[in-house]
Amino acid sequence: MVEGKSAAVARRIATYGGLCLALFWALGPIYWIIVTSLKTSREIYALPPTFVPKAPTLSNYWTALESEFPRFVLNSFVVAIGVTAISAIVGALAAYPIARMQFKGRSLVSRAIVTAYLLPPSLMFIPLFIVLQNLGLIDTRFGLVLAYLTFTVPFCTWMLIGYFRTIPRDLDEAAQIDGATRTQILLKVIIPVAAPGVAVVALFAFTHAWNEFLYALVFVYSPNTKTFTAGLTGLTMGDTFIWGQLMASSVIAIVPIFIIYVVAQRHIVEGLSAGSVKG
Amino acid sequence: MATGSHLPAAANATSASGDPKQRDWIAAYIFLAPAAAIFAALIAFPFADGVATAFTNKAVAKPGEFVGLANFISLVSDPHFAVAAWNSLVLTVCVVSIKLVLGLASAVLLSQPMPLRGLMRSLVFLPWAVPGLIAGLSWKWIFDEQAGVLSAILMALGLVDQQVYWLSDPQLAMVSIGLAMVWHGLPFFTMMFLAALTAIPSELNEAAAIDGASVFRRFWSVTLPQMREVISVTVMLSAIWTFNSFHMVFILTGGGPAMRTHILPTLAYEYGVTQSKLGLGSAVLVSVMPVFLVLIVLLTRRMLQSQAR
Repeated sequence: MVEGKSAAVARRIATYGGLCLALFWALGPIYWIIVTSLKTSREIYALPPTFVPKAPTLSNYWTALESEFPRFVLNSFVVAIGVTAISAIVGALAAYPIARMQFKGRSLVSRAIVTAYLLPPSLMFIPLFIVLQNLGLIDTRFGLVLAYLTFTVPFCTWMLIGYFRTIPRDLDEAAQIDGATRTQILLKVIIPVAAPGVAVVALFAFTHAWNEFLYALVFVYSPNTKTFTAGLTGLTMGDTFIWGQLMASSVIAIVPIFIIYVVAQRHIVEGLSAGSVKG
Repeated sequence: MATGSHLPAAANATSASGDPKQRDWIAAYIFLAPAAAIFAALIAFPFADGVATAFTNKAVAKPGEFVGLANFISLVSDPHFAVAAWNSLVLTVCVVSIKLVLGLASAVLLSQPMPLRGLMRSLVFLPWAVPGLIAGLSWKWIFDEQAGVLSAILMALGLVDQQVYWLSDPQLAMVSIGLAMVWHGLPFFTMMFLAALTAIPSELNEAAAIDGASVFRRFWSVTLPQMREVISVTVMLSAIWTFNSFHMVFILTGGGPAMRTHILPTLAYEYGVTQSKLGLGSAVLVSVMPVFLVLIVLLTRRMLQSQAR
């Protein structure tokens, strides 16, 4: 480093100062969700607010668990698993020919995939509502799975094309010379080698379906079909927000995503930047 | 194939079944079939149908009749539409610019040597993993006008002397919505820029340092040009997503007070779902499609190029 001693000290101070600010900004609201969930309803509205709960209680969690919320979480889980499985399989099937085969219309297909991935849900919710209504799939979990596929299939395909391209061609050419069919190459060569990539893509699909709000709000409304995001808005109708229960439910719903995130954080960050652009 | 007809039929048939290239593209189409079915039935058809619906008076429970441009004409003279379009534009431009600047700053920050750097990065990225709805709820509670913590902190610091109306003053509400959007969207910028930053060969920076270039000068003329591609893709992606942050507006203000904080997607929801006028709601969405199509076409080209490289 070509830097004087005082410059190095100044740099260090700036780094730690900036880091404290960044951590406070990023974690403050998350801390506030957790702290609120542990307060009694009286303390929640105390002025000035307490930054550490005086009498921590789990009562908000019990209320949430005794309500219909666990059922909504289960619905979210069923929908997200369905979306993940279908989009990983369909995505891998579609990504393979685009990454490896020569066929007419290939560039058109990859353009269609990226375009579909970029099409925002808020432009599609009314058209999809009409289609699902005509199919009799409004207020069904299957209908919601179909709606989420419109985002996750293009996204998974696009990401997997990138992963498949990083696999050395010699591997599948060797298999081809041994007489393997395309299906065998995909199942026995490409997918095992790209397994970490497939896992990351599956996690993304799961997270998207788990977190999604707009489609859930519009397409499902009865207790048997509502996901937790649609269910939480049920606690906010009108002017009264039941903050303790809302925040406790939020913590319960965030936990699975945070676990995924902590376990796979490095791969997620790599995948995210590889999927949108290659550095 | 133009020359195909000159060959004897038998030879043509054997080449069709025997040529591996030929078999290959049949296999390719079979592999693509499920994705193509989803694309046709759930993306292309609804999209076209949605555009067509904008020219009808369809309601939730009844089929629509063709009404020509009536929906669009009523939008042109609709003050709520003008307000929502303006809000969408200002919000997108401001929020994306702030995320760009803060994203660059925090990426540079997190690339500095520090203890536990991996953990620090995960913690700063954490808002990205919070579901959008819950991010909206937590800010709604932070902005609460009776017991909100933000007003309390500002009062404790002596900056204000009473609760601030973060969400019930329409202009301030747009600022508050923007703040929450920056919180939720910033980690994506930081992650993208950090990845790009680490990919820049350090020799470039060192050479410039030896030439006597200052830190800022090096960042401006060495680092930034190297990141141009990543920056433009990130900004375009984020512009699309920010414009469409339905959940933040829906949770924080619901478009109120007096429909003054709507953005176009929430206005489309208000008309199409709440008031059950699907035709009018579709017209709101169709009216912004041209902007998106341009953005999406540009971005698609970029992303295809960078993946081909």
